[in-house]
Amino acid sequence: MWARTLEMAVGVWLTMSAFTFAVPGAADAIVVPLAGGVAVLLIALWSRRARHAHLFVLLVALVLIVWGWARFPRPGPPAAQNAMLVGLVLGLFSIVPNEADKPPPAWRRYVRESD
Amino acid sequence: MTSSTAVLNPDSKAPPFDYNPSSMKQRMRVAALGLVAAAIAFYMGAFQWGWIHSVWDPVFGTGTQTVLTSSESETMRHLFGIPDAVLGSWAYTTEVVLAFAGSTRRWQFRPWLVILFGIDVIPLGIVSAMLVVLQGISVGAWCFWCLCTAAISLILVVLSYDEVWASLRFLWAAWRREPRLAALWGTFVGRPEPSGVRVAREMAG
Repeated sequence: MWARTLEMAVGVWLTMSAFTFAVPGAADAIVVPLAGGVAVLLIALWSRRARHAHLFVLLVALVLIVWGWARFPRPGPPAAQNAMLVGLVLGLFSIVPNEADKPPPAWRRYVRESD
Repeated sequence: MTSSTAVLNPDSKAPPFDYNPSSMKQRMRVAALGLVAAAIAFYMGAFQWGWIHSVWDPVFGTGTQTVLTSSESETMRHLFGIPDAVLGSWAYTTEVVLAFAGSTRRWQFRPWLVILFGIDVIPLGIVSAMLVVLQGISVGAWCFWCLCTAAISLILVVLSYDEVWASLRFLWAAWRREPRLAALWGTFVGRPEPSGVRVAREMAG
């Protein structure tokens, strides 16, 4: 579950960054990180109950990367670079399974049923 | 220990090695070195971002700054939208995270994770080390910290290959038992397919 905890921490950072890296005249520079941060927090909480829900964080990560890369002329303002970097980090965490330090549930079930 | 629980033994060896290549001790070395490389790359990225005004280079003087402000580096920055050193730092961070993730028998339980880790460390590590050298030749200046991270990349290749090899051998043995793509895929993603279970039991002794 450590990956989910880290996702939540990054989600908090993303939410706060919406107000830290505001770009004059670009409302989406607030909306995208804010919505992304809230989405990540909710998905990370949901992932504690649903085994594969963390993969939805990968979608949020892709949106952040594409938005940060395409929205402004590169290299973009801090808001865009932050979105891309956070997207890359979230994409990384999102592929780490819940209870990654234990055997997968299917293997545990197999051993339980075999004994 | 029954033959069923033997396949869960976190400390068992992974043939052909007489040790467990997925042990935490093995992976901690990779994670620690990756963390050092990530910190070095981030230091250079901080310069490219303008957070610091100079970079200390104990060997080549202003070489690191010359490389970090070169037209090649600027081209990369315009292409990716993020300074190349920051991207490098992220790449090393992926190695740290992928080194941490998974159990101490992940070469058997989660081959996909080990293969992904292997792709991250081995081919990408070799390519990034080559790029650092090519960049030095192209720019005409050498960057001490870039060479340090390139050296770490190559050390990481050496430290990581055994686990990847154990996973590939496991998958190959499962495939030979049951040459069916569905079974191989199941073993790859961490399902106890009959062929994978038989191979795991044999390997566990």
